[in-house]
Amino acid sequence: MLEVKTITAGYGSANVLHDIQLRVDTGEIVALLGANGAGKSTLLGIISGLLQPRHGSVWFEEQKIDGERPEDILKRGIACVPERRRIFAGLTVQENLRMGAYIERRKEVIEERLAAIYKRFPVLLARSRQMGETLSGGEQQQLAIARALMSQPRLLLLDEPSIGLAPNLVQIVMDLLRDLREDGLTILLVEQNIHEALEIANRAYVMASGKIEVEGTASELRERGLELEQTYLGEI
Amino acid sequence: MTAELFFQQLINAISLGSLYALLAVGLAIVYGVLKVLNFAHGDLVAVTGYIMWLLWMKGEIPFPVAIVAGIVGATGVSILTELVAFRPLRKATYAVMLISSFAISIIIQNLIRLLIDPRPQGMRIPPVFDKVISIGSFRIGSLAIITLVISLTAMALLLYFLLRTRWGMALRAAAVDFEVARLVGVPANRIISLAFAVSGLLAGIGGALWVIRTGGIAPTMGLYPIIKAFVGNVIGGLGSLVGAVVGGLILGFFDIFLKAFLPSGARPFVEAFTLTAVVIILYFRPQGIMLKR
Repeated sequence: MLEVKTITAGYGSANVLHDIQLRVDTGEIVALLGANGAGKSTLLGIISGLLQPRHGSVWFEEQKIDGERPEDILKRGIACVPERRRIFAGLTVQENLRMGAYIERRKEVIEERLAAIYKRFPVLLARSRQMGETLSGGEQQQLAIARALMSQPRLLLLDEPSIGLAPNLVQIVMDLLRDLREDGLTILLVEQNIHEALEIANRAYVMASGKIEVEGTASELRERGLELEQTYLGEI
Repeated sequence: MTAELFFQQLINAISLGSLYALLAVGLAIVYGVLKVLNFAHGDLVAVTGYIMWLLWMKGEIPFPVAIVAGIVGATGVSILTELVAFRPLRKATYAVMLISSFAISIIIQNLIRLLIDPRPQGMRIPPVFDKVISIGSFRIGSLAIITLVISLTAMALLLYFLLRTRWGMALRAAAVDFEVARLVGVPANRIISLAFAVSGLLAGIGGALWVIRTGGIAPTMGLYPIIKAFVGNVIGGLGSLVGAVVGGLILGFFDIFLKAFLPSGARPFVEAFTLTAVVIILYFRPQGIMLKR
């Protein structure tokens, strides 16, 4: 479904990504693991169209999409849940959700999606008129994911959804991602939380210093968990 | 002070304050999406004034038509400013864009000097703006009422636009987090053009009222209102639209009440008193009145 081919990218004179190769097949959850500064967010920025690679290309459903604008990539069916949730403050929960469906102009379609989202996330219905920033961390993460779902993507990119959440809330988010996969959504999950991510992923890549160092099925990587953590994910 | 005098000055203060608020909000909308203060904003007031002057004083075209043309002109110049001065610098730093906005300001002023006239000009204002309305012993100028009604109507429409329309919502979202707004599909260029269009429209409306109030035009006539709008934003809280309105209103109150109640010898220093008050406000709330720390 998604293929990242020999991507090199950077800011100024420094390269942040070196020759990245990555593949996500339809219906799977792929985890992209790595410590802070490994280049994971930069890669998501390139896939979602916010950044341009220096070399290499991004392919979605057999079409080259790098260099396209974010709104065009979103229209193709790739939505992104940014790091640290980044709820629109000063907009209500419902307005945040409506912003997620910005590219959809048909009112009745938007209302249908809102109803479906409220069914999946009852807490957001209860808080629909509250300002987004007044929600708790866990609720904001649900809102951020729900906002991305409002565009009805086929591929969901998530940038560290577990960051800053208590363990029980992390579990809720991971269960949600599992449910979404069952409903047919394909997911690229960027995480530092290696154990939780490998628990739900089908395959995984480990990144360090802008390179893919390890790749394999989640079960293979789970067995090497401790080694991976010590080698690539150690806090500096 | 009699209650009547106080009430008259109160209306004058809200009237002038709402005019400052119009200009301040325009500045704040552009600040929201670009995080840069557009110093050419005040020159949109001059653009409005000169279009009105050319049409009304030189072209004998009816005053209302001249006003509308002036407002449309300011909106157009605002959109053009973005295309010429800001769009090519989208990835540049704040300071570069700030300098670019100064350049546009200087260009507009000098184009006026070259193409029209470097000297200030008087503008004949239709008598409807110059009436005194008396209710019993209570007297108020028609311009104060007209300014008040138009400014409040414009702000009510702006509020409706921001709160109830898809584009208005996108504008608010982009002001909070431009990058995430792009991620949910808001086209960057279009939303920035929209911000400049709305900003220019408000500057045009405010500009027309300003010209009627001052009764004249000059190439640098935008300087005074832009400083008021800028200070209004700073006291209200830079980046907050509500703050810009509140800041503008506060400045109107200072201007009117200081002029009305200071001893006559102190009146030349009204600006100094106003800015001292601003300093005191910022001492206690450096982030502005409407923003949380």
